[in-house]
Amino acid sequence: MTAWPDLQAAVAGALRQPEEAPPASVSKLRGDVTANKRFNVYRNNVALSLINVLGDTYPTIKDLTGDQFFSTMARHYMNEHLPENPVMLLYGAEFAGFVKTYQPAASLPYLSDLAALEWARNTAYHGADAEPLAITALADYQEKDIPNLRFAMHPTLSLISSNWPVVSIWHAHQQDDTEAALQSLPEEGEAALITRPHLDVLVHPLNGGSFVFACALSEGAAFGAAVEAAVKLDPDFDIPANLAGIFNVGAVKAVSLETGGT
Amino acid sequence: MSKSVLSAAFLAGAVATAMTTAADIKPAGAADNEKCYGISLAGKNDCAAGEGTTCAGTSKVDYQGDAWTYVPAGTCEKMELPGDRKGSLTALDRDLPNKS
Repeated sequence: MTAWPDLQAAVAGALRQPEEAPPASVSKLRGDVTANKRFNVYRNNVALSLINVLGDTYPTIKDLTGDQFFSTMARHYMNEHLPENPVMLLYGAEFAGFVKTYQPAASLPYLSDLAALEWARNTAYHGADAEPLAITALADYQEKDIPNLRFAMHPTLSLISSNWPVVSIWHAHQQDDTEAALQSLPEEGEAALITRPHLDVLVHPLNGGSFVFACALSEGAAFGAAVEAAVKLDPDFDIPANLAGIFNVGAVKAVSLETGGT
Repeated sequence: MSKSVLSAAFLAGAVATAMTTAADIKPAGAADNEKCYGISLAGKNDCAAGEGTTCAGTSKVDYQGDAWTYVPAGTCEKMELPGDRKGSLTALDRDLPNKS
């Protein structure tokens, strides 16, 4: 009799090898129902459920590439990346990186960045709740300390940037008339701040200076240094508007004068 | 940290302006608090029991290697991307000898 761990390993291995025979312990039922046919039900179950999970997490990629292309791409992803966690909400973390190297999608160079945006929305949706900090908290600090303020960002925050107008592409796919919205895409690449301050995941487009400012703050830079980085890229960077903006979208969880850590 | 070219007084002024600006704007998403919570996104709270539990679609297991014969069929070709970028869509055709 096969030991349980060996049987488990044999089944798990065979699930991923459609060309191989099923484990010897899978018996023929009767008539023409072969052991392989029986075992294929399980192979199919694994493949379909993971492909469906990817389709739910990446609805815009699916919409954009079509069901057949998406399923095939998802199947290739699944072959390289089996779930590492029983929580299916976390499945698909490496999809954007996979899409970038997936040859059949090479004609769609923006696809990987679009996948990154959808993953950021997924992680924001399932991220920890936290009450965003109101900007009035800054009134507690003295003038001399203002440049040294450190911002702890909201746990659901992600920042993405792309050489392509992925925010507009994503947004077009949320409209009733997606095709019409796709006719007026901007010429430039786009960046976005994604967060879930309360119950809804929000996608806010950012310009270059705003993106640099938000990235610097989220990487732990002091307020003064973050402003400098933004002004360096964009001399017209509007400091009050961006500071007000980052609080108003609920992207800040706390401020302090401590350096390092979170 | 190196000496900042932006003075503390200047930054403090910006903070003060930001606080007046922000007071007039309703924080994003704050209006949605009455919604019920804890609802899973569709399809992720369970295994895909429907189709997979029957033998229907078993052939999908054999997709491997077929990817080259599929082209994106969704909205991607309907998109107006600026400049020569739009033309990139056709690059793949070379690799698809069996496809019209």
